[in-house]
Amino acid sequence: MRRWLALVLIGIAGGSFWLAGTKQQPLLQARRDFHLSRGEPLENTPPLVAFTTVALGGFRGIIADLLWLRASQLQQDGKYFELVQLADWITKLEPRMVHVWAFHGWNMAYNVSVLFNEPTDRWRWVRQGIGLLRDEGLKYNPGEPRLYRELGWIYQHKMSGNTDQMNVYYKRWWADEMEALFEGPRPDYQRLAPDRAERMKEVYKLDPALMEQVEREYGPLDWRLPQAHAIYWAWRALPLARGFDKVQLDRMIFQTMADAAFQGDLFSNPVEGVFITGPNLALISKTRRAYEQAIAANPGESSMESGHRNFLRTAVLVLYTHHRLAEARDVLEDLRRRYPAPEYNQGLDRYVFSRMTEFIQELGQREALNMVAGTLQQSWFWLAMGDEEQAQGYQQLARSIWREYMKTRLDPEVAARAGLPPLEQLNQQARDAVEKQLQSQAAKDRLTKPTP
Amino acid sequence: MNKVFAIAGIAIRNAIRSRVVVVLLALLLIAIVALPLTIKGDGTLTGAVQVLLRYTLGAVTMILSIATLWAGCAAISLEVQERQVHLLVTKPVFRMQLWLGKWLGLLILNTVLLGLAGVASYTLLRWNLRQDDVADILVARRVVNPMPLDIAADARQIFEEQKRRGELPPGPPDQVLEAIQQSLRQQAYSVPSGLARRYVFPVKPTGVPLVIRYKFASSSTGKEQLACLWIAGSPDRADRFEKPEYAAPGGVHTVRIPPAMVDTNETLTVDVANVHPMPLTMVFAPDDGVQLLVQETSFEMNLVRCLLLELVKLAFLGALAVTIGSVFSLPVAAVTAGYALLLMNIGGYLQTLIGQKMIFSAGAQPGILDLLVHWIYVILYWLTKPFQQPSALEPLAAGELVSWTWLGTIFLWQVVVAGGAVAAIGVWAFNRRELGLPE
Amino acid sequence: MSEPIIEAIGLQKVFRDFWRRPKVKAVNDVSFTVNRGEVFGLLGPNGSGKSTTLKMILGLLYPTSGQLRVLGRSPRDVKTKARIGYLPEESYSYPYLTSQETLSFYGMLFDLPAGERQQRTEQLLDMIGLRHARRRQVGEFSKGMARRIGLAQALINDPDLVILDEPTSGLDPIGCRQVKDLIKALAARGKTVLLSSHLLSDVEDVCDRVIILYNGKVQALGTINELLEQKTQYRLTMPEVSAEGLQRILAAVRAELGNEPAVDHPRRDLEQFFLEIVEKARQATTEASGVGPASGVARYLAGDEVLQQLLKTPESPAPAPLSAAQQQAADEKLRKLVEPPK
Repeated sequence: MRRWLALVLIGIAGGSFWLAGTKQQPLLQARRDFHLSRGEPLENTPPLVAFTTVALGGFRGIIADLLWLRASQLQQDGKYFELVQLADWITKLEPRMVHVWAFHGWNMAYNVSVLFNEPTDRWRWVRQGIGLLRDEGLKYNPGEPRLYRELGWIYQHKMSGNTDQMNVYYKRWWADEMEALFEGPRPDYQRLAPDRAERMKEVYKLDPALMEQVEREYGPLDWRLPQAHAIYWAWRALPLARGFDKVQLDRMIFQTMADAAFQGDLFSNPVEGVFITGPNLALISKTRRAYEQAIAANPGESSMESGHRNFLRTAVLVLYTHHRLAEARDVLEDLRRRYPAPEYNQGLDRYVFSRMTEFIQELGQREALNMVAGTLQQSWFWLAMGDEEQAQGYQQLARSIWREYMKTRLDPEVAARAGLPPLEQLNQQARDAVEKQLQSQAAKDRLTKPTP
Repeated sequence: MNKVFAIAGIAIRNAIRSRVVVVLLALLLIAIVALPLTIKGDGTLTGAVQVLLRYTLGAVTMILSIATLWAGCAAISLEVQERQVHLLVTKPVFRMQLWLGKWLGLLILNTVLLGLAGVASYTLLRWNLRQDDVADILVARRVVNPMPLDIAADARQIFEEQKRRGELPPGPPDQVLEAIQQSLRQQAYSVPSGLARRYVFPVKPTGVPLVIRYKFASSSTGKEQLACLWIAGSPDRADRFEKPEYAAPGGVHTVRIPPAMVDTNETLTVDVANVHPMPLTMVFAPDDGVQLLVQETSFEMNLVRCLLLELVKLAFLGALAVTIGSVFSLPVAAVTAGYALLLMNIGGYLQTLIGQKMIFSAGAQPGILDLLVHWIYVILYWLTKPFQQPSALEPLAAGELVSWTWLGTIFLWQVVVAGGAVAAIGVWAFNRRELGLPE
Repeated sequence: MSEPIIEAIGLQKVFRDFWRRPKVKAVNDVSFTVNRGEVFGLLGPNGSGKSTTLKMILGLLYPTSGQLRVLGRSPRDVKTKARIGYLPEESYSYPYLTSQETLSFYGMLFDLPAGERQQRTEQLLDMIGLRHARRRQVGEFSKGMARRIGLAQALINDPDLVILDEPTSGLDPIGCRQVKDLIKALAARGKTVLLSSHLLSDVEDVCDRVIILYNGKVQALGTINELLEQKTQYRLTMPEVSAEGLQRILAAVRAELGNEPAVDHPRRDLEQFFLEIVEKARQATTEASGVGPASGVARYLAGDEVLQQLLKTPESPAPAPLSAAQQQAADEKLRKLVEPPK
């Protein structure tokens, strides 16, 4: 009986060994893929990190896993206080695993930040994400293009883009900080005080010499805006990247360039509380070149071409509205040559007019809402002022904008998600808003008339 | 009982004279002083305090847990190995007394060390915060859940109504009823745009501000904030408290409510209205979607209870270790106890593993091995579940009350029931053991 | 005097391996009885089963079969243990305790009241000559000093049954002599002593009865005299006589036996000689290191004053004229000796 038990146990042990053996090769491969092999010694590591990674050996993976589980659990429960510390430990347990850095930077800047109501709280988490990637991740992995891209993405998308409701705050605070750092839209490269250069390098990891190179190639950039930083970090990774990484970085550069061309000029007046970004028209030609270079380098990337086409189409409108007619014509000509379509065969004036209606349809939900609400307020305002004709005109315009916008959003699901509230509701809100601002009773009385 | 104390006294004296206590104290002090210097908070003062509390006390309990396991395992097994036990069991001492003495020695040492560590942590915390206003941070608030909805009665009513009209959907009646309840529950915690939902909390009149803590999901896939309005106080009052909020879904938010809003019938009525212009629904979690936090005792008393709870856990660990040490030799005992501690502390991890059916196969169907491993995890999980140790550090750091009731329950379970069972097994096995066996 | 203190009938102990298969029969059908007041010796080479037997009597091992009663109860009974004192083969004390604390601790295990405990501790420390080392930790002690502590703790409860495992191992001749005297003193007070030893001379000196084990079985059992007496030979000891006188005696013997008897000078016992030398040296110097002057037997162990007095002077007393009664007793003894065997 005992002998049988022994045999069974030996059998189980043998089976387990065999099983472990079958998993050995895939595991080794995965270790290689994720840079988990311990062969490569870590550079630039503080002694504590070097010690733990060596001392824990194979166990550090398990510990990192447990910490990670705890981090997700805490995040789910709304307890964010430990996340920075946990992310710090997890990344340092696996300092070579790029995915870990990328995930935690993104997680803090994106997932955690949006859980807060206050812009200061959100900004703090966006900065934690930036800090993790920029100050720690890149220190241990200076040759990993993925990390530069993740960092650039926070600047390009989270801060420069408008998906986050608080993006304006981020832009403002970042601009204040950069303004204090550079004393202007960009550092004075020729007469840079040593302590300022030191601060740029140590705190923000911005190398003035490299910044100047970026400036020469893509500038003039306003370094108070996040776009310049997205371009800076993507550009720094270009020599390290090849293949898909390279394509992604190219894309980041020209997309951000396009953004900067249309929104890259900052007019800021802290005293009046004014913070407005407008087109940086000087960048349009450089952006065109950036697109062209990227397309030439990556033939067959159709998404790049459609991005290019969209950029050119908007550029025509922007140049036109800024009365740069010659350049606008040149861009239209470019469009006609590269992406032949009947609509480009018209003259500049006619083309721009036909684009306006299309433009409304392509507006984002918020822009459209603002546009309709603003126009309606104009309407009520003029009504209060006694100019019924003007009021009628604005009312008409608002209705057509609303209709144009909703035309492409007829599907009830889409309408619920991205549609506008009913016109009557918006009208009522606009009326209330105007009424509040009015001083005289006479003007208020005029608003009691039926909808214009 | 004198014999038990004598044995405990020897254990303590040994620990002190062999410098174990000094080394432990040094380790604890390093943890308490050095950890706060290296730890990163989230950039807020509250966060810093929470992380500090959580990590220093966490490190303290971890060091003490490991030390307890080791010392507990060594307590009897080392004496067996060194044959000192020959002189004990040839004296008129029941083996239960021997077991109890060893356990008591550990417990006394743990009490002293944990007490010292607690005082040191608290002093350091206060010193670090000497210039800050901590009235809102160092708190101990009871978490009050809203009065439950009587969904069952409503569901029953709908069920009867449908039955009367002959509109009952097909299927077994209890499943139909369950489905009705399910949908009612879902409705109860969903607040569509333009509607409001009422919560009533049982709360005694108090002078300190009350805090509503809420958390919701949005029916939108996006993360945009929703506009909502919080109204507190009985609906017939003229001076109801109102607070508009623009809140992010998924986050945890708080609203302070003046204590005067508590009604004379010892309830607080809170309405939440979804006033978002877009047709989006707020969905509150049924169990912790909306909770009321009431300041109840001082932070210091909470800290004391928290430390007591940790001590209770150490008492159980000690019992476990002494029992294992009275059955096995030291290396075996230490490994076994370490494994037990690990299992008790990774309940959440095991649960995750149980949820994951595919461990080996990459295909669509779990293979035989997956099932086997899955069942091993399930068994391990259920075996260790009764002994899984809740941490009082989390609520302490989060400013939530560690109640006497909770402490009492944990004490009853971990020391009296589980500890007693472990002790009984230990004494039984120890009694059966022939201590004079040749090596 | 015939009250049985230890009764073993058909005692057997089988050691098993990891799979619980029988491996060794360490003790095989051993039966013996130890009576009150006896000094009983367990003899045998290594692995003969004497240690196993001892451990079963102490309750450290449980018999596989057979009957074992100690002081009328099971050896595992806690009440039994209250009346036993045990000196293990090696020092199993706690190294971090001082000698005083060690004795006090074991006293507590016997529920001795504090005053009594302190008194006995002091007396025992005096007895083993470690009064000066009372505050030193046992871990620092030499082997001999540790053995003395072991001996002291075995006596803290004034036991009825003293079990000594190799009591003289690790002790110097003074200590050995002291232990032997102690054993005799205990026996004189009606205590029962069970000891195992390799040193046969020690056993011979103190034991009333011995059992010899080999391979787990009883090979011999009986009193020392029964086992050792060579009933077919005689030895004659006399004071110094002249050469002619000796010649005459030898001639008479030769005539009686028909051949030459062996004649030599009796030698003094080396132990006795050594103790005298040391005693002289001790009187010459007052400095003492290691073990200090021991003082006989602890008062509470010695019982009445007379016995105490008797034991105070272990060295042979100065020759005194014999009384008539003593003379008669000596004659009687002689007569018995020369009686021809039946």
